[in-house]
Amino acid sequence: MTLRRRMPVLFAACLTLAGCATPIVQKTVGTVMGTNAATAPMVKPGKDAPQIWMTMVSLGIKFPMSQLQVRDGVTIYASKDGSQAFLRNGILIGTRGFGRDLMSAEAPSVATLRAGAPHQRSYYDMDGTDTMFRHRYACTVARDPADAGHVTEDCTADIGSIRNQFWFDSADSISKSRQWVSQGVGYVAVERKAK
Amino acid sequence: MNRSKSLFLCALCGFAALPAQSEMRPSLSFAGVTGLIDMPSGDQQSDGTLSFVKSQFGPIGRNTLTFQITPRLSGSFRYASVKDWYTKANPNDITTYYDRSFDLRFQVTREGRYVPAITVGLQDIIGTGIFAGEYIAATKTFGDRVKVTAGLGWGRYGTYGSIGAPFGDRPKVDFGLGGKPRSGQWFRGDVAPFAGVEWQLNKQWSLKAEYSSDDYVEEATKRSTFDRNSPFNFGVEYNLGNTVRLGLYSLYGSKIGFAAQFVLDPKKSPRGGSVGPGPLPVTTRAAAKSWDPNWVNDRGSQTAMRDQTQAILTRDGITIETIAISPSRVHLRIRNTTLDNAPQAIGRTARALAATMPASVQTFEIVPMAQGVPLSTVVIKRADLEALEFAPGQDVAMEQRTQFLPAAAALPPGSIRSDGLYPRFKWGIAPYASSSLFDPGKPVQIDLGLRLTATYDIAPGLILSTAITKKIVSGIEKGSFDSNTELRPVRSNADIYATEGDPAIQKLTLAWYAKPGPELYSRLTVGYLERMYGGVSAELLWQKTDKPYAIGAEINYVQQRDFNQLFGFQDYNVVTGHVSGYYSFAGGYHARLDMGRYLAGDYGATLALDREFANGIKVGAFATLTDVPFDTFGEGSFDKGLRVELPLSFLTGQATQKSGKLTIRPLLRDGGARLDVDGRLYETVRKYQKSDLDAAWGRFWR
Repeated sequence: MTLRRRMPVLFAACLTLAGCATPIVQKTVGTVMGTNAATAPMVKPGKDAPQIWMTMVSLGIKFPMSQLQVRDGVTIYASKDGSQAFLRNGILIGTRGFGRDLMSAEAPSVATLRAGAPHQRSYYDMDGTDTMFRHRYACTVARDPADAGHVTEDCTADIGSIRNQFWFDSADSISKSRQWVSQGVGYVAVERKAK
Repeated sequence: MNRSKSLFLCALCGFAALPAQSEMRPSLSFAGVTGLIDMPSGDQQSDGTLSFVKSQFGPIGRNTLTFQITPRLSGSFRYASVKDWYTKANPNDITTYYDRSFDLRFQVTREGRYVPAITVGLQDIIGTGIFAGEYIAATKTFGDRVKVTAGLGWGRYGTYGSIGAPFGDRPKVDFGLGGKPRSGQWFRGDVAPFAGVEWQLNKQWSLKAEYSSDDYVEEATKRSTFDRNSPFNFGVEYNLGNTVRLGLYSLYGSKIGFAAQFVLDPKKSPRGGSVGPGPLPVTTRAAAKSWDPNWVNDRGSQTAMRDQTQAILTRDGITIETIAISPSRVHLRIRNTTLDNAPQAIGRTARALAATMPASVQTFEIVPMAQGVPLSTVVIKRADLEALEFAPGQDVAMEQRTQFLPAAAALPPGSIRSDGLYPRFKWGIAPYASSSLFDPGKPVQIDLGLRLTATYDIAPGLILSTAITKKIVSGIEKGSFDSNTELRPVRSNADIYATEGDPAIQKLTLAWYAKPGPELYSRLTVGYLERMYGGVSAELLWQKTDKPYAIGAEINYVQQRDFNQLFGFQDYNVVTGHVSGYYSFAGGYHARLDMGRYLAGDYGATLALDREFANGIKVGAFATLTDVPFDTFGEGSFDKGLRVELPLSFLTGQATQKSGKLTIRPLLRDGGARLDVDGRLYETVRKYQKSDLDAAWGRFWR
């Protein structure tokens, strides 16, 4: 008449599902379950590596990231806890460890933005089932009449509209920006950090 | 900076960055299906959603687990209780009635501009039928805050305010032992209308009101467990993020009720995705480490390459078993015991090789291993890795350029084995909980204790392992009823095993895993195989690397163990075994058919269907029919159940292979029972074959 069955993690699962798990509970769960989560960052940036400020706009969290590698015109920045952002000449083309990550992107060049040319953009992100989605946007660029160094990129896709903003310095490179990552992460603000 | 914690906290407040949702999320009813308060609606949950509802009003309590099997089809399993059902003759009598029921709902139309969402539902289709009812419900959204539902109900939903019986009388059905559908009753008998409205005040709060067509004839009229004074129910619900909703209600003019709804959508991880550290960036050949030009003939240099690669991989919990480096190729065998996603483990290994291999090495052959056995060979061109790291749509491009080949057991010439892997002893102690469900005296019983596990890797594929438990809190009691089985009690004495095993040797086995052919896997296990049986178990699996199917065979000779789960045996032994076919369909649906002889000596077949997501969430159902007649099997007629697997990594976003597994059988009896031996081959092997790697490939670049 009776059922005997083991369900080791169910309590932990319920706690987290119920949304009542605080980080402390989570830590306990981790210990209880013997989770060997890889918490050490993969690679440590050099001590004097150039830095940026990364702000996750919807969460209001701001943290520094240091340059880890430059290759093929793409700079990879890493935070202390190992998450990464890929920027091509200041334009975001990838994140790792942000949650719903931007895995890759077909993004305009700085020249396209400076020229104010309409263009197509694609964002590739992964949902909770690790399924990749491509979102294609049609974009227009507007220059701020009051500020020659400020450019706004408005993009529209079936899932909604987004607005990226870029501020250029006198050398025509991006010094500050506010860029879309994904549904789930929202926007990030990126700013060069003074030494 | 503590971004991880803040991120986690924020994930709890909902998906802050999602665009404002104009549509109302479909909420759940007291019966645990998409609906109003006590009445169902025409809505469905989002595809793949798993939900659990606990509700109670007056004497009526329900616990319902529902899975949205496809975008239009959902199934629910319910455990309901009615207090004061029986009158108390003796002080020890149980007065509460407990029952299990199963529902299916199909959405006929989705909501359009003018068309409402219409759902047809069958409630309690295979149980005793006490909760049986059928309905057609239509729901239409007005604006973005109001949903109106109207429907027609039969069975229990046709008992109040009936407007006739269009399809004739409802035949009485003798449910006998239960477990069989009573299709003859469906949509027969009185039909009654029901209706209701849901008004979402803001993101958190919503109000509900309904007119119920359920008269609670048995509960209120016949057994007077509560007073049904009015058909009108009212409620207020509070939304806690997207996963939890709490409700307080007034029911039938006499009772206050509450409900807690938990909703898990596999597409929406509570943390948005994996939040662990990013990978080592791809190192180009020009920037890769330079080695002594004579490295090809220098085992010392090659050993140093292996050690440097291992140093990188250690951060991801990946262990190198062997490495063989030739001027243009490297053959690396790895064991991944931490990362939950197989392609991610392969991607990280490829990047480690890019950082350490001499520039002339163009091809990476990565061979994932489990239990000392190679599972497949994933061949990656170093140039592709360099070219695609920042390319848009890099995952598809990489997959197209990657080869998935069989892996031979034999090592390539010049292989260097890692030190210290064999022999190797590992052990650990962790708390455990085990539970017993559905005992009518006490439906939830839990034991808590400590479990000691130890493994000794003697040689590749040869593993000695044990698990010993010691109870600290004994919650599980001997069942309220005796097993009263007409078969050998091969499983139904589970309560005696639970109460008498303290300490208990859960298992003590010597297992030998091998690979007799490139696509042939074998296992031989000897010892105390599980808590109720000991003996010998042999298995063979044929699985082609690039095919979505596999065939296996297993034969066991086992003897039933003593209840105390130490070294002794009872005088029952049996030869049991199965031939199994596995097929993985597109879209994450998996089927498995086992045919053979079961523990009680009965012959038959088990069919299992699962829906699986690439993140490891699995929901499935199984049923076994054997030559044991339903009368002999007893209550429930045949063995069947549901199973859910929930990986911890989905909930925490961290890399771990731990997961919570739950198998729910409405009744555990002795027909169609299988041996529960550890290390069955298919689930281990399939993770690194093409069709499973394909499904999860998005994380190669993560």
